Amino acid sequence: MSVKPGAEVLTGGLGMEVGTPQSLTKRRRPFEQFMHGALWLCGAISILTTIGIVYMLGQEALLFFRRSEVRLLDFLTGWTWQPQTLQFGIWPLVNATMGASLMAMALALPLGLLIAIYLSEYAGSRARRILKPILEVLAGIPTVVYGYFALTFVTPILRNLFGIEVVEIFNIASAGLVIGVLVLPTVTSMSEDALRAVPLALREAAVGLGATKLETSLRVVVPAALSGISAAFIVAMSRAVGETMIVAVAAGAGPRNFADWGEALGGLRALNPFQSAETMTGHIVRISGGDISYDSLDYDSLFAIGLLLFLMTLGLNIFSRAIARRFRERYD
Amino acid sequence: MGVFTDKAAVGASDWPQGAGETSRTRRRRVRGRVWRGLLRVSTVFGLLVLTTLLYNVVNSTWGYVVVRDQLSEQLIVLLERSHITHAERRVDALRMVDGNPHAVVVLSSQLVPAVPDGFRGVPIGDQHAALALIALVPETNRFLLGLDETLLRQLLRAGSRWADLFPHWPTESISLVFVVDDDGVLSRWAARQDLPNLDNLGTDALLAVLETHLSAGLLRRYDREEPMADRSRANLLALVEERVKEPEVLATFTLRDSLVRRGEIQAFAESEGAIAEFRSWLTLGFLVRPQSANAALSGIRTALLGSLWVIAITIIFSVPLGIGAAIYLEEFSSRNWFGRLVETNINNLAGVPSIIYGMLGLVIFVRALTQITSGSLFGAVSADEASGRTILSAGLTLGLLILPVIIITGQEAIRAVPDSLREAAYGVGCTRWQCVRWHVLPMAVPGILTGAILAVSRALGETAPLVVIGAATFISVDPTNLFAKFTVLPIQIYQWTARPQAEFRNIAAAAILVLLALLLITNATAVLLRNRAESQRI
Repeated sequence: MSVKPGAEVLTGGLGMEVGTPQSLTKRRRPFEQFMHGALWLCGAISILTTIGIVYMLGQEALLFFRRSEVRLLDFLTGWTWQPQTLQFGIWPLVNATMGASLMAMALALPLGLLIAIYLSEYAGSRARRILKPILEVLAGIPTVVYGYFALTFVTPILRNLFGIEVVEIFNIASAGLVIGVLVLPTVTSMSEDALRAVPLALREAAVGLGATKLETSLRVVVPAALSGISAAFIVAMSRAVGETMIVAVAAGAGPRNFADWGEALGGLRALNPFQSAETMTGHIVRISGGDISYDSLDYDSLFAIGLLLFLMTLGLNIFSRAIARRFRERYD
Repeated sequence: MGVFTDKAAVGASDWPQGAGETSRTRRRRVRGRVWRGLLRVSTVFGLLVLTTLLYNVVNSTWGYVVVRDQLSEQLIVLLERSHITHAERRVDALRMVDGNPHAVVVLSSQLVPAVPDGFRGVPIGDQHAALALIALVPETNRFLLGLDETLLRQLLRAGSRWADLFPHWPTESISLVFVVDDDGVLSRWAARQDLPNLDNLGTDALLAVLETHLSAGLLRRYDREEPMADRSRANLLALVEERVKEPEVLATFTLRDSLVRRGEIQAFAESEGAIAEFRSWLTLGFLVRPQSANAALSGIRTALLGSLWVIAITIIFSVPLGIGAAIYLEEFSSRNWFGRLVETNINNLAGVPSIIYGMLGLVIFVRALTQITSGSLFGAVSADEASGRTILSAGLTLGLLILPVIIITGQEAIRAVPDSLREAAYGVGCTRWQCVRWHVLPMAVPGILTGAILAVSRALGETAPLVVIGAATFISVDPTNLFAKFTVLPIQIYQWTARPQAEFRNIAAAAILVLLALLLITNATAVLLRNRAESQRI
């Protein structure tokens, strides 16, 4: 740490003589002002990014909805996404996204919570020193590597377990499970933070009343940290919804279309996790990765999907922060 | 947590009494133990996944591969020494040789059920094997009476004239014609002959091989790319490998299979007339070779260079901006509406899916700013072939993506600097900027850099946004400037994984190992930096 007292500081760094305090405050400092402005600009870039995202998504999506071939009602309620026949119903894509995300949460939610409880209530400091970096490493692995893992490892295992006729090569289950692994570190670290924030006095009280360690953890600490834990789950859900490469590699290349709601929900065929389906993100990546011409209907439709995706994740994130703030127990 | 009372300190008489009470207590304790076990087991899950993932990648990176060359190396060498032709044209070959006393035709006995008129047939090699070679010597030849395998081998090694072997033989040049068959009889024979391999052929020989084997059109195309005569030996060798040898991968095996089922693999290769060789897909050659349509010859050179270029742009763009924004938010902005707005906004931006950033990059950098990002404004390309799908666009897009992360970690690092330092600085008359520049920043730099490096390593593995802004699917030319088309390592992995052929999975695995190694290096740098900074601090 180098504190550099001396001439430079005393002369204000500008080679001027030191004046009275009053003249100091009034003195014009062009460099100071310049730096202030430059840093302000850096901060403003983030605002510009947001404006850019909202503007471009809104603008292009608007172009899409204003086309004569597209009707908003069909977009919001239709079960067929087939740009070739000008059918733009969003539900096949949303359904696949929700399916994969719920699959992911089915793995990450219980497992993440168990690991968090272990780390915060049971593990000694040495165990934590070893276990936490492992989870951090899991969080740092590129998603395309997870995609490879899903396709070449998880899918064959699922096919062996449930039968080759039942499980397709590309399927939602394998992608969903691997997304679960991907968001596991998020769930664990956020939940652990919430659990550790519960004051010691609560645990002491529980133990004093004769509760075992397990009863203390499950009936006192977890309920007390519930707001933080729910926030963690929602953030993880939002990440699962926006996850792209895993589903692009492992979930399939083509929406699972149905004629209408009756056909989709009859026999729950829309919910089968062992068949291939294309999620919103997977569709965007596949279409834009091919040769797509700008200003075509296909191109515009991607932005309508993007807008919906953005609104979904933004909503989840805001919701999560609101929960954490609103239901935070205060122990002072 | 040391609050839990030691059981030994509580006397037995203090516990609840009575048979019902004891059994309930026992039940509760058993439940506790069962759950503790469950918790422990679930904690191991992370480690389990990590190990399986690495095992899975390593398993595909090394292993046996069964390769059949269109033309084996030995045959290519034979080709350089003699005429060679394919089975369909064997009649032409015979006609060409007919009556020429100085020529010999060598071919599989399968191709000539009976020795044609005007020739003497001499079996070569193991005569009892079902598939054997036969040498056809024209009846007009009066000197070559005792031809056998040894003599044929000597013919291959001899100079160009018969007289070189025995002085009393004619001085005419030796004309050997080999007929390549689909059953691999000739290539198996050639493999046993201890011929020099391709690496021993000189530039002229390689050029000759290419000229006899490639079609005129293809030769012209290559000549246009770079004149054949000017090409390096390595380049010619690569061309011969790709176009003449044409290795075709019949099957690949995982490391585990290669160790456990070696016999089966060898038998399979034998039955296909191919060679099973243990292969490491991750080699030095893999790192430096450009892309190729043939997995066995493909490399990641362009992808690796692309990744480095893109990441350099990302760093130059986002690190200064991110640190600047972090400084502004922590040190300059009074907690007014603007500061709060930026704060909330950054938190929200950090949660936006990466693919949305890709769409932003597509609209803004690739399309709206085409003139800048394609370089046509600076005269790098002409305006009508300007395309914004360049390294510059990719770098800027990833820069926007990691900006919120850099800002948030930067803010945390700056916030950790104690206020007493700032107060001391103001106390001796520092302005705000001087306080930041000379007192806060030096203290916060390790933390800021650690965060920045971690963010950059995230950008290094990012795929989706770059697919959206339009990475090139196939480029074989090294990127040399900001305005070049690009591909990056993760995209290469994605494209190879998406291919149906098994061998592309193998090179995808090898590329994954390279990417993980790259990330390991970056993250290790961050950890080292943090440790050094912490040890220097008092």
